Amino acid sequence: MKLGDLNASVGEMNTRFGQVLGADWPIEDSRRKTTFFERKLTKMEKHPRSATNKTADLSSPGGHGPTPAAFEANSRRRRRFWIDFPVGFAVLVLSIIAGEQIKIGLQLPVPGNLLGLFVLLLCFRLRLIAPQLIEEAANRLLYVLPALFIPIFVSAIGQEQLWSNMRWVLFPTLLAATAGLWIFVGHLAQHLLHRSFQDE
Amino acid sequence: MNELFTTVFWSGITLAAFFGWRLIFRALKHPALHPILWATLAVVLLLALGRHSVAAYREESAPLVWLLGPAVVAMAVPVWQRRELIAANWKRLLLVVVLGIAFSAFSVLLLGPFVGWREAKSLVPKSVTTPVALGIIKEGSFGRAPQNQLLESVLGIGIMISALSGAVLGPLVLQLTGVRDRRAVGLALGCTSIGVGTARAFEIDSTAGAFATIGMSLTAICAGFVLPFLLRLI
Repeated sequence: MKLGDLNASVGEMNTRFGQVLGADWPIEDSRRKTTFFERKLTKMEKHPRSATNKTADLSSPGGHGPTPAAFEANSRRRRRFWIDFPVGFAVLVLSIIAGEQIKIGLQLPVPGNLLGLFVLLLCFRLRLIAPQLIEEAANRLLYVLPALFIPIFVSAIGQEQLWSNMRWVLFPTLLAATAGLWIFVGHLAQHLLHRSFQDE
Repeated sequence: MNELFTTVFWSGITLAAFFGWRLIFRALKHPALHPILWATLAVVLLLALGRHSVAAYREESAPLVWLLGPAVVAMAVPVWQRRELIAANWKRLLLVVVLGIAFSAFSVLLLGPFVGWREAKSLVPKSVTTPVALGIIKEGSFGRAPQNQLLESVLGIGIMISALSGAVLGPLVLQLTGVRDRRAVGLALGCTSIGVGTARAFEIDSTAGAFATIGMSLTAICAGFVLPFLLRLI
């Protein structure tokens, strides 16, 4: 639809609206006050240099501005940070809330955030939420994930009493248990995955 | 206002210490310089120098700990991206994960007579990613909320040892004991040494990293459902 057509239809709508209300407008168009929408359209018609034209200026090869690719990458980055990240983060938080509600409702002794993970997977499966919507927020959170452990580790180190009582037992035995688990899981996985490869 | 400032300050210091050490680690690429270990020690040193109590720091860095919740839900993305791989091998992967959880729980419960049953029980989810592990001990110790802080600290020690040793020693031990399949190495690191082990697996190989992510996520899911019931029974 052209701008002129749109203006005409707005005018027609105003006329009908006036008739319905029994008002004395539409009076002469020159005396009638223009609506905000009409003013905007007129301005756009008078000054066709819109946002797209500004983009073209920025991307002009002769100018000192960024190249088209750089401009697009920049705007994509800004969009990711200011739109995709908050929206994705909000979806993650809403999933946790949903998980907590399910936990309370069904009285399950399972962490609410884990139930939230399942809620989100279910939403992906039912195509209620596109995974791309939260990809940005998820990637950023998983990037900083190791740093989020630090307060817990500091708190653990700060428990001097706990350390002084159990240091000589806890440290070597936990290390041995962890090494045993690596070897157990590693060999089991190697055996099972190798067998699956042979089956195929 | 003062509270807000200290919260922002200590959270900022924590993140700055981690990302600063990460730069050093990436430049020198030595497993002994893992940022988690050195950033934790740097924060402890700063707290000692500033005569700031650990309990106050824990309260002030609460926003970072809170973010662990959304981070667990964020794991839905890598799990979803690898759904075909999981679906193709789900029986084997599930067997590895369930037996791994059982082995881990059994091995730490053997510590009971030495460190106390309560502490040993709190160590059971030591190989589960921290936000889920915290949820497990919270759910597993119903009605005993005041103990949670102590149990969290014991669990923190367990997670710290399994995570850091996984980053520093894990691949070496696996290589010496004949585990050479990249997928198996990834699963072992992901199932045992959680996020830190997964990050280490990605440094070895993208296949190892993908399997470590699957191992960590599946361990969190299975343990989150099984361990709270088990802890209540013990």
